[in-house]
Amino acid sequence: MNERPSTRPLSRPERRGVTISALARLRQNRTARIGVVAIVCIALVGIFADVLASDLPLVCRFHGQTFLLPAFTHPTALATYDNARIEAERSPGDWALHPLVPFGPAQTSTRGALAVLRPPTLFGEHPLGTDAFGRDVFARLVHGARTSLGAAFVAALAFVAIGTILGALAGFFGGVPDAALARVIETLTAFPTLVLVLVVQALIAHPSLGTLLTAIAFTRWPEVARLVRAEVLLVSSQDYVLAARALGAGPWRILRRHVGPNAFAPMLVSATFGVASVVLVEASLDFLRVGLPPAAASWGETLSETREHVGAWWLLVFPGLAVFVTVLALNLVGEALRDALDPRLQATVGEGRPGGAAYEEPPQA
Amino acid sequence: MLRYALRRMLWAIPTLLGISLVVFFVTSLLPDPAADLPKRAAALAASNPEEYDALEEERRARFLDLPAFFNAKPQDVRTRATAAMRHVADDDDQAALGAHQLARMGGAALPYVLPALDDLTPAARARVAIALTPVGLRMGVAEEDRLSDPNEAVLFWSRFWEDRALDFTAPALHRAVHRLALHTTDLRERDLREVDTYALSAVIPAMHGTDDREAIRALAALASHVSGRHGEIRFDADDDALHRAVDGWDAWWQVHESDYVAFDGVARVAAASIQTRYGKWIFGATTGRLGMSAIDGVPIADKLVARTPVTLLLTALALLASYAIAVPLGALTAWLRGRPVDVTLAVILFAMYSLPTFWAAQLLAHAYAPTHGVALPMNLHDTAQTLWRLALPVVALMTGSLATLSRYQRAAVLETIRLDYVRTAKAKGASAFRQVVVHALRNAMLPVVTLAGLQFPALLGGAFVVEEVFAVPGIGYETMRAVEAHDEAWLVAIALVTAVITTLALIASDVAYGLLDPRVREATATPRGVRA
Repeated sequence: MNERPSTRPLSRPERRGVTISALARLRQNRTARIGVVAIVCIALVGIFADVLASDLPLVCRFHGQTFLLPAFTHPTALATYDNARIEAERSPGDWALHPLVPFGPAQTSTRGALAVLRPPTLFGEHPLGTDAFGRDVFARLVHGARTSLGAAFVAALAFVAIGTILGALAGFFGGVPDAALARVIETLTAFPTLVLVLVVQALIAHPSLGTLLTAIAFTRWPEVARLVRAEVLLVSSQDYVLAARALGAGPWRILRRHVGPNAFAPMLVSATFGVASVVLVEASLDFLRVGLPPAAASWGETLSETREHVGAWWLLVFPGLAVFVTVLALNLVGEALRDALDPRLQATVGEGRPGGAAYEEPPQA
Repeated sequence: MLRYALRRMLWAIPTLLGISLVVFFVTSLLPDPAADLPKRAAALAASNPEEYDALEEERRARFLDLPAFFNAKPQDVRTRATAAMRHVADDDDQAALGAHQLARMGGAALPYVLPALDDLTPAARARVAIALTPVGLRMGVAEEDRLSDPNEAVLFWSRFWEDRALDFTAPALHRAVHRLALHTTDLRERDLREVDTYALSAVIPAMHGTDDREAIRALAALASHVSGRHGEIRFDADDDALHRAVDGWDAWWQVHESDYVAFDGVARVAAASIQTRYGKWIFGATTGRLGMSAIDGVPIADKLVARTPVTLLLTALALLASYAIAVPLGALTAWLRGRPVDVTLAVILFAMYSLPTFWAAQLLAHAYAPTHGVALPMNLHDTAQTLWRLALPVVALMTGSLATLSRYQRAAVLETIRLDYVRTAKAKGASAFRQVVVHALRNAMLPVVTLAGLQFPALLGGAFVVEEVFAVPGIGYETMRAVEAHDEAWLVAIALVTAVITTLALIASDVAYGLLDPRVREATATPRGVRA
C-alpha cells in the first residue's frame, strides 16, 4: 500500500455548470414558474388536442368492432362518421366514450346552417360557441394550440441553430467571414419580419406551413447570430480564454469548453423569445389571411373572422386570449431565463437590464 | 459631426446592395409560367407561333431568359440573327423557330444576314430569303409575289443590300429620326419604315427628346408598325396617357433591346453584367418606377408616393407618443422603485409588452368602431379628421413600443443613479425626485433614444396589421389589396421599400445618437447592429 500523495488540491471548490446554477436560480423565481406551468399546459393541450376535441370517439364499440382512438387508428373505416352519427346508429351492445367536446376543428356543427356564429353556452353543445362556418371554436382553439406552438418550436429551433452556428463561427474566427456575416445580418434585420414573410407567402406558388416556417426562420436567424457573435467576442477576449490559449488549447477546445457554455445563455434566451415571436408572426399572418390555408385550425384565422362579424365577441376574445397568454408566458420565462443565465447580471436582478440593447428585443408583430 | 454622419451613410451602401439582393431573391420565388419553354420552343413556334410569342413575352418580361448575375455570352441581334439564319439555312428541327425570329428581328438583323447570304449554298440562300418575306412586306419595299418566289427573293435581297447598306448605319438612322421628330411627313415616315426595326434603337430614345406630341405620336406609330407591339398613341390622348405610352415603350425596350441592337466595344463588356436578370431588375427598379400595378395600371412608384406618407405618419406618431409617455413613466417608476405604484405599473407594462398588436387593434376597433367612424373614408387633406382617424390606430400600434421603452427607460435611470455624480448630488442633499429627474434622466435618455432605430421596423410591421384593421389607406392596407389581386410588382416593391425605410431610420437614429453623445462620434462609426 504505497500511498502516493495526491496531486489534486485537498478541497476542490464546488463546480457547478453555468446552466445548472442558472436553472437553480430560475426555480426560485415565482413568475418564471407561472410561465413554465402555463407553457406546459398549453403544450399539453396541443399534444392531447384530439382527446379534448375530436369528431370521432376516443374509444368505442361500433357494430361489434372495438376502436381505440379511431381518428388515428382507423381513419378510413369511420371516415363518414362523426360522434353524433355513431351515437344515432348505435346498435345494442355498442358503446362510445366521446371526447370533451365532440367536434373536430374542421367539422361543421351537426345543426347545419343554424349553428353558424352561435354564442358560447358554457355547459352546452359548444362551450365557446361556433365560428362563421359553424365550426366549434373550442375545437379550433385546442387544435390551434398544436399548430401554433408546434410551428413556433420548429421555426425557433431552426433559426436558433442557424444563428448560433454562424454567429459563433464568425465571432470566434473573425476576419473576412465575420465582416461578411455582419453585412448579411444588417441587411436581413432591415426587413420587418412580418412584411417579408407576408410578401414571400403571397408570391410563392403553393404557400404552406413549411414555406411559412422557412420564411420566418430566414428572417429571424440574424438576430440570434448577432447576440451569439457579440457574446463570443466578449468571451474570447477574457483573460481565462487567453490563458487557455497560452496553455496551448486549440480553437475547438476553447470553443467547446469556454465559449460554448457562455454563449449558451443568449442562445437559450433568444430561443424563448423566438418562440414567442413566431407565435405572434404566425397569428398575425393568419389574421391577415396570408398564412396557413383557411381550413387549418389556427388562432389567427378564428380572430380574422371578427372582421366581418363584429357582434361575435367570442371569436375576438378567446383566440386573442390564447395568443396573449402564450406570448405572455413565453416572455415571462424568457425574461427570467435572461436574468438567471447571466451571472454578470446578478447585481441588477429585479431592476431590469441596463445596457440591454445587445439583448433580444421583445417580439412585436 | 458631418464626417461621422457621412461615414455612417457610407456604411449603408453595402446594406442597400444586400437589400436589393434579398428582394431579387424574393422575385425569383415567383413561379415561372413556362420553365420548359426553351425545350419545346422549336415545336411550339412551328405549330402555334401566337402561343409561343405570348409565353416567351411573359418570360422575357421577367428576364427569365437571362442568367441571374453574370452573362458570359450576352445575346445581341448579331448572335441571334446569325444563329436563326443558320437554323433556317440548315433546315434543321429549329428552322421554323429561326424563321419566326428572323421575321421578328427584321431590319435590325439584315446587316448580319444579307452580307452572309453569299456564303450559303443556293438552296439555303433561297430558304433564308423566303424567311425574310414578312420583313420585306413590313418595309413595303416589294410586292408579295416577288418576295415569295425563291429566285426572285434572293435576287431582290442581294440587290437591296447593295442599294441600301448605307441606310443601315447609325449616322443615317439618326438623321432620319431627327428629321421625323422635327416635322412629320409621310415621306420621312416611309424612309424609316424602310429600315424597319433597325430604326428602333434611335426611335425609342427620341420619344424623350421632344415635347412635340405629333412627333411622339409619329414615333410611337412607327415603333408599333415595325415591332408588332400595340403601343400607338391616340389622337385625343391626354398627357397622362401620353406619358404612360412612352413609359410602356421604355419598359418594352428594356426587355427587347438585345433583339435589335448589337453590343460592341464597351457595350459588349457592360452587357455581361447588364444583360442579366439582376442587372435588368435593378435598372427597371430605378428607372422604370418599379413597374405597373396589376390593379389599376398606375406606376408602383406613384402609388408609393401617395401611400407611404400615411404609414410614416402613423408610425412616427406612434413612436413619438410612446417616447412622450415612456420617458416620464420610466423616470417615475425608477423614482418610486419598489413601491406599489412601481409594481402595479410593472405588471401592466409587462402585459402590454406581450399584447399582440393585431388583437389590441381588433379589440379597439370592436369597442370604438360604432362611435369612431372607422369605416369612413379618410380625407388626407383634412388634418383634423386625419389625426382623429389615426388616434385609435396609433394607440393600438404603440402598446408594444410604449411598454418596451418604459422598461428600458426605468432600467437606464436606475443604472445612472448609481454613478458617482448622482451620488455627489445626493450627498449635497438633493431629494430622490431631484436625483432622478434633474441629474439622472438626461443621461439615461441616451441609450433609449438609440432604441428608436430598432423599434422602427417592429412598428412598421405592426402598421401593416393596424392599417388593415382600421382601413387606414397606407402601404399596409394597399399591400393587403395587392395580395388579394396578386399584384406582384407591388408586393416586391413593398419588401424593398420597407427595408430601405428601416435602414434610413437606423442611420437617422445613429446620427441622432452621435449628435447627443460626443463619445460616439469619436469611436469608429461601425453600424450598431454589428458592434461587439
